[in-house]
Amino acid sequence: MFRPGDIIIYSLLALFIAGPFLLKNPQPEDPKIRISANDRVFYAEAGKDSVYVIKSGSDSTEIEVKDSMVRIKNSTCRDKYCVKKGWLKKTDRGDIICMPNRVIVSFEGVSEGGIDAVTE
Amino acid sequence: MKVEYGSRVYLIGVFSALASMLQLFEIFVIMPIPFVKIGLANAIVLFFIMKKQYLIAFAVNIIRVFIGGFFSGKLFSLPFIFSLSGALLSFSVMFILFFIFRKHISAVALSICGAVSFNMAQYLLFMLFFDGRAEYGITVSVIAGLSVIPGILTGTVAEILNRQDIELIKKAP
Repeated sequence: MFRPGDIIIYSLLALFIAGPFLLKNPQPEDPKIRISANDRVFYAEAGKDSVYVIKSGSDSTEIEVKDSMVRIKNSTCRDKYCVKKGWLKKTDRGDIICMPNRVIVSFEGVSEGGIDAVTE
Repeated sequence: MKVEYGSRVYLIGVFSALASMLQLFEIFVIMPIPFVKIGLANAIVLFFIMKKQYLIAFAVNIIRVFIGGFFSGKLFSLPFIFSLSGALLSFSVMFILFFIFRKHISAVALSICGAVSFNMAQYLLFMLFFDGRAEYGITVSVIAGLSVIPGILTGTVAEILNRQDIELIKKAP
């Protein structure tokens, strides 16, 4: 048997049940990109596509940010390991390191995972 | 059908026994969905609420939890406390809803609200006991969604009971 008041009850219930799906947590915002050069730390926004150039003396490092990914586009160092490493996604652990130019690029909060396991 | 009674105690006694038996026999009813039980005892509570015999409904609701807990060997254990709190909350919700809406609400809607609140009370207590925090997430909607099914079943039974034209008449002393 159906009565008019039921509509209110059913719609409230449907809202209650569907609530968690509607109120889905807003996407976590893009983590910041941490660029450490010569022990000085800069932060870049991962959501903003741009190219950063870090110069120290005759060395220069070009860091490209695109689609929430980061890579070292160009570097004046000898072996270019940093360029060969390619793109670093925001879900990736680890970082891109250019030893000769003393540049470390990583996503903040991702590479600092702490200790995985300890055996005693 | 007219049911005459001298004192409410008789009705409470008889229907508490009936509700407890229903609750105990539900153990043997296998539902296709795990963790879901019908809760037919709630149909009796609902019947009394809709007959405006709130005190009888409340007494039956509490006594059947105690008797059910006693016979299933869980009296005063943690599941019993969950069950008791669920029964209290579902009774309050059904009572308040019926009090506000009266003629504008059907037994099925009342029963669904009762079932959802019963399970919500249990979920809240469970999370507070074992996790320390309860959040409004997917788990809540799954539990609430699953409790709609037994709610409809119980509500239908209560609706059928309610249509039987049973009159509760208090005998003059």
